[in-house]
Amino acid sequence: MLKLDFGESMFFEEPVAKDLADKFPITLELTVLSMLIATVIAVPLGLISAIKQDTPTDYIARIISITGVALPNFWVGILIVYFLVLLFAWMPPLGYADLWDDPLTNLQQFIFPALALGFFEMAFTARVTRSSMLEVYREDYTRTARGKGLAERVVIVRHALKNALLPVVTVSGYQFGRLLAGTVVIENIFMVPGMGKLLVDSVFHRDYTEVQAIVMLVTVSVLILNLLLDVIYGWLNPRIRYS
Amino acid sequence: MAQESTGIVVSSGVPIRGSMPTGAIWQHLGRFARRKPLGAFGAAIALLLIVVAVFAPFIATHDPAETNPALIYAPPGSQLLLGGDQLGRDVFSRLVYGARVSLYAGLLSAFIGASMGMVMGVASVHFGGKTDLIVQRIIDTMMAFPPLILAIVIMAALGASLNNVVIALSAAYIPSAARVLRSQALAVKEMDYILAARAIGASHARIIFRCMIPNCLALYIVLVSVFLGTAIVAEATLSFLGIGVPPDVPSWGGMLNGAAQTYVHLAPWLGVFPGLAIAIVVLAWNFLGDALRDVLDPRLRGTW
Repeated sequence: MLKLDFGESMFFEEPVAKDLADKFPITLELTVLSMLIATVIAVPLGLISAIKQDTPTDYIARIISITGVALPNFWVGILIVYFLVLLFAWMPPLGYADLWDDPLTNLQQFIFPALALGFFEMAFTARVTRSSMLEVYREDYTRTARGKGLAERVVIVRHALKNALLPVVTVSGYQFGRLLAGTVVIENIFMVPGMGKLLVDSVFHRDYTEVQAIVMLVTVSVLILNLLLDVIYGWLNPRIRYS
Repeated sequence: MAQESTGIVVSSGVPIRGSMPTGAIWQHLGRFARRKPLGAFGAAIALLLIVVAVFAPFIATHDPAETNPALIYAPPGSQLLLGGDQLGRDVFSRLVYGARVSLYAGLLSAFIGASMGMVMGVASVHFGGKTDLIVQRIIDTMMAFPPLILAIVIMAALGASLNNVVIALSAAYIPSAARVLRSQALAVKEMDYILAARAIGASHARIIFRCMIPNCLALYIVLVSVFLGTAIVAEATLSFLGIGVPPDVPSWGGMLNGAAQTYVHLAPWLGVFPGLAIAIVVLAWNFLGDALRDVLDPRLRGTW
């Protein structure tokens, strides 16, 4: 296996690598999309929640994020499916349009699984952003900036924001691992032909070569991403640059 | 006075354990409930879960395995409290017995995972040097796998059974517990009485179990309550995918198995109740864990 020769799948009697090459981009796209959704919604939500602490906006945002981390992701997926099927008579598509061939259909198909997958991460990131922003807001340098007479908005954007976002970057590393694990469930619910579904099917068929290969691929991706994130974090945070 | 106490040594040599009168317990609980209402709410639900799980045979209205073809997909009503599932079994009774499975799996995995993690972390810090490095590398390797994937692989190797689920989930939690408790142990190691214990020649086991571990207990309790919530979800996820408990054992995750495809058209309510149960229980344990953490060590606030 170290030679990158994964051998043949016991069930399909095809080289495993071919299977993975087909399915991995789909799962990757789902994961990236979920992370995007989670971050794009969560970060502003957390920031606003921190700036307007203890107002009704804050309470609503906090309730959303607290429930978000408690709901099991497959239940969120199931509820979304219920919602879609009962209200819009939607069916899980049978084939998946490739991103390069047909971007519009592709996005349409991926948005709901990505929402289901990203919900937990959105709640979690919002919580982290909020507490981190709260900390930074009370720091001396923020108060100095405000004392200098800068407009509140400038204070937030130029001074507080960058520092508040640092823990979010760290957290994103763990996010990726959790998201990849979450795809196993979400792909099952939404019938997405990606690696997660392949993993579960392979386990059912006792197809150990496939399982081995998938797990290796997943782990390596997580490790590479964490490495990248560590480097990015080091670049962003001058305080640990020379350690 | 070289009094050997239970490891929690106060300078005068007088042991401080066992000095709390029993009546004060209720006072402390009352204060906890008033200061942290969310935590009290969480504790109440957790208690409800335990009661339901233990007294399941008395609470359930029917036998959870009893199938009744006449009641397949029956809507909630007078006959079956929450409706009938795809084989005509009573959903309410399955929920009640499922509480047993969830609690068993969650509690055991959380305890075993946290305990083994604690022993690993503390021992590695205590012995230091090369042992520490080797153990750290092992833990890092284990942490490289996303926990759910690790659990799936272990289940694939061991086969479907409740005890295997416990094994798989404990293995998934050991590395995080070891990491967290290791940093706590590092702080404890510098304390004076640890040095004193080594100076008088206490054995390794004695130092680890009687001096370092009692100081990590606060963190340990918080970890167990946090792990419990995630363990319940993890067991449900595994059962939902079909690689957790065997299909005849009632499990909240297993009850959701066909929900996304089959039930949606035929019996939408079947997907709601088990998921709701899971969500409420996990929320309760999260609140309890947060409250415990705030009470036992406010410095930890905001770490996760």
